[in-house]
Amino acid sequence: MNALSAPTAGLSENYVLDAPDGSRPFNATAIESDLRAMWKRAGETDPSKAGAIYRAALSNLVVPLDPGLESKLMPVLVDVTRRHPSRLFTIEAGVAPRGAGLRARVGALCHRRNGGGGLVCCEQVIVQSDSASIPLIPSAIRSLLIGDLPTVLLDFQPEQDLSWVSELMDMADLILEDSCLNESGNKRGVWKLVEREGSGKVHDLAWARLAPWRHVLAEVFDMKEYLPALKTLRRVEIGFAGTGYPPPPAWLFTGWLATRLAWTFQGVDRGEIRFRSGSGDVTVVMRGTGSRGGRALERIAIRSDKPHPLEMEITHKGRDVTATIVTGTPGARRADVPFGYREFAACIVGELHRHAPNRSLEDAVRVAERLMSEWRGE
Amino acid sequence: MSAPGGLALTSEPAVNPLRDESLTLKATDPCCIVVFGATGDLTHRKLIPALFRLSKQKLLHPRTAIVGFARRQLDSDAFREEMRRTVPGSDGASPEWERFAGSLFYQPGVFEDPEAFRALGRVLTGLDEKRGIPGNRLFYLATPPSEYAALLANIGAAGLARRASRSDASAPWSRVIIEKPFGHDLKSARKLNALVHSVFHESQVYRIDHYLGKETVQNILVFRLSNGIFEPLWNNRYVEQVQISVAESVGVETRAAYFDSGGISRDIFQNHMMQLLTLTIVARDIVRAQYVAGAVGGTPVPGYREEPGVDPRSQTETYLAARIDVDNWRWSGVPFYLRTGKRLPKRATEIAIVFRNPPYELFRSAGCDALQANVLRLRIQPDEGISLSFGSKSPGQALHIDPVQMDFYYLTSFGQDPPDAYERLLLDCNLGDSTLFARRDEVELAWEFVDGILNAWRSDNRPPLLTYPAGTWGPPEADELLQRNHHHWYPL
Repeated sequence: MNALSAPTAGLSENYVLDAPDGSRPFNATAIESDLRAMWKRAGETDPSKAGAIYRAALSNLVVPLDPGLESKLMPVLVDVTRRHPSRLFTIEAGVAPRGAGLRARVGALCHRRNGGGGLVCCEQVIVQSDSASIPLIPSAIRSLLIGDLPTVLLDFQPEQDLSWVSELMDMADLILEDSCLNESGNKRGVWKLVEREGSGKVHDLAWARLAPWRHVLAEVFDMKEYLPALKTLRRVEIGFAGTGYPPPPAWLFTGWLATRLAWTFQGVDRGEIRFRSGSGDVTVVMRGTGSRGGRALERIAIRSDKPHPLEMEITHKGRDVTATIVTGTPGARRADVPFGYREFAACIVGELHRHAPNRSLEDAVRVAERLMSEWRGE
Repeated sequence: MSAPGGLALTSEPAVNPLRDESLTLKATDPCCIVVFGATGDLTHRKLIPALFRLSKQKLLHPRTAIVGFARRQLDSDAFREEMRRTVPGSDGASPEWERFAGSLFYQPGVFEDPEAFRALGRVLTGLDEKRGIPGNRLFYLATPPSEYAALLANIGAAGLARRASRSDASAPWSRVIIEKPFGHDLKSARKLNALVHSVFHESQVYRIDHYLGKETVQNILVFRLSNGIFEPLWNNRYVEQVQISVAESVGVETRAAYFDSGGISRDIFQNHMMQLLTLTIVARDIVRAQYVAGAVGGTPVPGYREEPGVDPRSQTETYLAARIDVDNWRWSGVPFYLRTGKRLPKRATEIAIVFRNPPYELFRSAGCDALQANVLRLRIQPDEGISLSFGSKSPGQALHIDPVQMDFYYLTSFGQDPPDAYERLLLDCNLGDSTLFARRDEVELAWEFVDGILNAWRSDNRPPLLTYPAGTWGPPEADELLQRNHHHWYPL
């Protein structure tokens, strides 16, 4: 073990503890032994150099890592364990050469406490397999779970319906999915899962990313001069980065608006979604802005008719911490307002800390599912 | 396709249907928060940073207005700029701050001037109209207690303290937060309460002791009442003794005049320690002492009488240790040991609950020493958390039992430090939840208890003022206080 010797690239306040022997054929007893040996040696580290070392775990965090996403996701996972200490299982299925079987190695991700005073460390178990051993992965993970802590599956597999992932889902207390990874619209597994398992067990990170948009829009209508305009709302335009088929957050946002404002779905006509509200027709248009960099929402424009006319556009780009609201009617106004942009890790941890069922998401998913079906003419 | 959470907009919406439950943790009311003493230390260090954090977390209603009121002649822009300096550098330049600063206003005025309060009333009415606030008021008395009389009288005379309506929950409310100390003895506490009640009903009064807002103090109740293995043990059958320690490594700093007139019995013992005591349950030997020159954390420090602003002949105690007996069924026979002091080796606050040993020490016959008691330690600060010590067999052929610990740290378990106490308490007051505030009878009972001690000291029974070197855990007599019962202080 290179105790505390290797700061993680790009994260100068994070440290990695490595077990002595590297990867070895999977053996649960040997892995637990490696972990014990690692802590024993860490405990012998001169405290004056590293400070006290706290071993911490609030949950078992199980993460199947697609090789194509690993380099992007590992820094996120390091940040997640800093914010929510966990025993982290990273699974790289099918990456080992044929005949390698199931292999594993252990390490720890350590973070310096705010204001000094030692390191908080989370154990990491890295499991790799060849193709033939993939079905063994769930049983391997099961043997290493800390029994009295909840198990969270962070499922970033772009491919659905893998039996070993389904098995991991069965053993999980909480499943975090990201419908944005299935954004083509041909796969709606995440929302099906929400409907089947309930929003208490399955959370969609795409919904978490919508929170700042919902906050900003809600705050606009907290102003009593604008509130009546909700009644006469006639047109909503949702702009998203890129082009083509609308990404899941656009559908979820439409579903949320429709359920909160009690709109009744009427139909889809030439790319426009038509609803009926208590006072007339409402049209929702989803359109790519053509800008590059992701598929996030960038623009919401709304128009309400008399007797409460309102024309307003809310725009936000990338990681900006503000959104811009431009009002044309009833009076020209422009304001930059706080936009609660959160890094991916913060979104994940926010969902880990939310335990109650999310009725707003369930309602929005139900509508979004139907809208997508109608859109494609199913 | 309409959902149960949605609202049919057949008439003008009275509430914003887009503000669903997932966007608001607690439904706070829009209100005008008036901070009296707005240019003072408490406002700078605690109140504005706490209100800003609440605003950032969207826990303050966006239409809330915060009005500073103090003698100094400032306008609202200058007040905002002064308050900007109370938050960390980057926060002061953030859009969240800009938004929060837009809710800050300032009204200069003298606390004794009735006209200043009528002018304040006009400002608040204007803000109600401009920001759509339904007349709710939260008054925060962030001033020295000597200002309370004038403040309360003029709030009442200006008609700002609208009495709470018991029949109409939607009617505008007025509440007042009063900072400790709540008087300096029983008589003055009663006088203050009478004054407060001449203007406000008790249900409108929120007496704040920030200790009660601390996450770890609230957790005492949760820990005791929601854990099946501990609740049954919380009585004299299983508990041998309880120790409550509030240790400070600092001296009197800039508060010499106030501290020297009251001593640690009023500064900490009457409020913070009484709050902790009443949370662990619902009095006889006392040691009082004063520190002399010594060293704290490797730094030489002067004795108390050499501190700036302290009378060189001062008889004020800076250390107090006491044994208290609680005369009820649950705690009869269990000594409660309390200690608090300035210039102790480190800053630490904790409650140690020491359990009785098993009635028969099975392993003594096998050559083991006497068992060490199980100790449950509730750490209030620093390193907030809970630990439980128990005996375990040491590895090896011989039978040795060593104490080991199970530890819970807020930081490592939840990945974050607990929030500041003022945030929680300001939010609770807005929500009308007075659970974590002191009630009139509680304050008066605490003073009754402390007055008994102070009165005894005025007679011939006054215990001698002992001394202890700064940087030590108090005089040897404090140890002897426990040794009479074969007990000892648990190290902090």
